Amino acid sequence: MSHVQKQILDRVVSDLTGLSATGSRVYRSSEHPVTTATMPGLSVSLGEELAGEGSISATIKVVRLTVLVCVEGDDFDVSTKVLADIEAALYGDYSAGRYVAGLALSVLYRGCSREYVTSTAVRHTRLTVQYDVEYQTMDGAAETAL
Amino acid sequence: MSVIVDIEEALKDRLGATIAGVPALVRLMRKTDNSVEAVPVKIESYPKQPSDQLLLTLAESGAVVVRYTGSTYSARRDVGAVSVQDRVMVYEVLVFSKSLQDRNSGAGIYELLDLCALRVIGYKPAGCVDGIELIRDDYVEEQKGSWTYGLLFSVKTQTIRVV
Repeated sequence: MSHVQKQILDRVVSDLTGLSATGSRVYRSSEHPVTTATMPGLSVSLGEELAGEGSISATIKVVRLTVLVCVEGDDFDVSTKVLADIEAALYGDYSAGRYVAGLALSVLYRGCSREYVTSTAVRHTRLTVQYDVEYQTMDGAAETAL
Repeated sequence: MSVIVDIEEALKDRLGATIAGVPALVRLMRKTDNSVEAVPVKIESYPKQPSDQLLLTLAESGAVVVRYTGSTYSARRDVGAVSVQDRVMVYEVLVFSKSLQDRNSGAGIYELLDLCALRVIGYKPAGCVDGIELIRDDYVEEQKGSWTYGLLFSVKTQTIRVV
């Protein structure tokens, strides 16, 4: 078994692999290589985690999911298409009232920043897309999502 | 082959190429019968053993010389199996001429400098990831009425290793 965070990250990477514009160019990282061969592409990482509500013996946890989208050039069409694909993939992984292969209680979109980066060798559009993923574990059992 | 040499060769080709809307790099020579002939300006790599005499000869005929001056690298990005560093390579075009401005001969150094800049700006040699950016031009030296100016510009490449 592994920490539920890792299980969530593994599943999200799987969900986001094979999207129409980004294909297999998905990296489990907070950074992106930013080369012509790796764009358009995604880098997926988990960040800060906060405690939400819970019960005496269980805790709801909210972990920040960041998807970094890198698209060569100042491209609005491709980058917005990627955004739509990500949203469809994440919310499409839903069954029996749960998200992310049953690991998450909810997935909440938190926003997206857009930047055109000219300081790298390959000029590119960089979108930082953020979601909050809410899951619950029994106290002392961080490897099993309730 | 080396990336440095490949790009230098591409730059020489570009400087000597026919480009729509951009005048050729020529000097006009008046022949003994008083007719005028357009002679291409020499485009070469920097001499392996430059001497004052050789540089004077280049100025006499009007010449454009290309050389690589160095690179700077970004911080390394390691993502999965990929290690990447952006590389900004700087080249210099040295322009040699006997005159500063000579509209009649078509080989005044000011005109040659401007034409070189027009020929390389935005040009993306094979293997580069962005077009050329001009940095600056400036006076290099004057010897016995022979002038040398330099045009500096950069191209961007990447050094990539996939494990």
